[in-house]
Amino acid sequence: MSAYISIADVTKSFAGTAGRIDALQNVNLDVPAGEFLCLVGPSGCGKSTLVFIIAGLVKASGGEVRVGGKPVVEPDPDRTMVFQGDAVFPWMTVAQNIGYGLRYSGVSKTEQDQTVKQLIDLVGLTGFAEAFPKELSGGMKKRVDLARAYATNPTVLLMDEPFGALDAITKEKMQVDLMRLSVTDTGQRRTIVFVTHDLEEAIFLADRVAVMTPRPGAIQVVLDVPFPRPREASIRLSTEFQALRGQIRELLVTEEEES
Amino acid sequence: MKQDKLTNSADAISEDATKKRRWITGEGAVSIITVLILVALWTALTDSYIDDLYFPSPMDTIQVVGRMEGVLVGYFLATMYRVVVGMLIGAVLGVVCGVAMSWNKWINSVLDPLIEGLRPIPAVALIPFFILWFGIGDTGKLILTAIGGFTVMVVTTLEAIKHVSPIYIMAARTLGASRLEIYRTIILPAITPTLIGGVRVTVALSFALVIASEFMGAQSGLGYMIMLARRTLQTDAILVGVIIIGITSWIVDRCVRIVGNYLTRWAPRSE
Repeated sequence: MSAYISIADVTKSFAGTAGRIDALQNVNLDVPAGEFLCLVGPSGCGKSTLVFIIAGLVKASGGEVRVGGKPVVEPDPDRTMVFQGDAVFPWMTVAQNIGYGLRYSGVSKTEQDQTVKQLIDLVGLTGFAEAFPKELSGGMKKRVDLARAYATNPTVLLMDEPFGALDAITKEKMQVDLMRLSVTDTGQRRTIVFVTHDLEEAIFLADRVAVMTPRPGAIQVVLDVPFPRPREASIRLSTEFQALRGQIRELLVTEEEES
Repeated sequence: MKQDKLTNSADAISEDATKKRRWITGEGAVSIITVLILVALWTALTDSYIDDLYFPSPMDTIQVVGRMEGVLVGYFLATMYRVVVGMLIGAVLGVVCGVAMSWNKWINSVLDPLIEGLRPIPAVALIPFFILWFGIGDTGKLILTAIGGFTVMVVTTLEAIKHVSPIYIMAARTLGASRLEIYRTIILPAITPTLIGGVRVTVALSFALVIASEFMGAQSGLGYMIMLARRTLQTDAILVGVIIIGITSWIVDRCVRIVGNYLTRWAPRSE
């Protein structure tokens, strides 16, 4: 398969209070259409910055990101994002939040309402359409966030540690739901770039795991995750799974020591 | 999955919903008792130690209201008109300018020195000029009140916009919202709770400015009435004026809070 997202020589530096900070240096990475790619790396290695650049929210200092052949210059509802923090708009109801992107998509109001209704059921929030986010638990808010990102039917989904703040059980449920929902309306798999520091989460979800180096971040190695889909939660306990986890952990620890 | 939904919905039922609404709360009763004790103390003290000239008794005060009823209503309405209209003009202009300044850096460059120059000057200091320019009618008082409200609201708006969480703006951008739509659907609702706070400050300030400008030159209004009463040592009339201003200011603030609570009913509250 050809690269759907292609990241070529991307560099990013920030002007910080303590001088210039090089966050990313010559990042090269190709993600084929329909792949689920997880980005892992030591904290501060710029993995979040990289997805923000793919989203078009942050401009790279050098290099280029192309999605579907077109260079990324600004955000586009075909590339939606789920953030680490709580990005659900507190002044909108669950239904209004989920339908937010649809307002600007040009589809009719009836069609919008229909999509929102389906998504509410799909993420298990039936009966909460008119609730304000303050009435929801952390896990439920994250479901609203996910549904909102799915609503515009994007081909690319960018996720920056979306489940980082959730408890272990809720997190597992969300991961299973995510796998179930990562297919477009026409049955194609979405291309997903998922940032996490949780190695089990990365292996459970991904087709490939990209391991980054400490700052300035670059891609150290990209590993294939060989487990067939659909994956059961119990695969985490298998020796192969744990061996892969140990291998990635080793890579992260050695890099940290060297730097 | 079904189990999960059930537990989730149980969590989501907020405590408020299960609490019964009562006519009066324990805290409310205590507040009422405080007021009653104060009135009793007032009656007792003015009956014995305090000379009526320095501080009139409750009975005297009530009698004055009966005696002055005709002019009182007219003065009250004159003051209210100045407060409400002046405040609205100032607050609306303040919010509009604040939003415009955050929208465009050139608008900001033009308005910022003007506002920064105006802001440190207490508006009351301008009253002599306003009387000179606009006379002792409504115009000068409305402009003065509007200036007071404007400076409060423009600063409140700018600060509030600065503190809108960037995550909301980024989320809206990735979902395809234009800059105008982000202002309309994200920034405006996000700053509303802070703006309500600014409006409450503006209400109090507007009363102060209108009364002060009525002291210095007017032919109607509660401030004018207090000024006349001072010249003739009618302390009971002064007290009536003060009480009416106090009660009205409280009622207007209450209304702002009720409307504000409705507009920000989505916001989590720590109570």
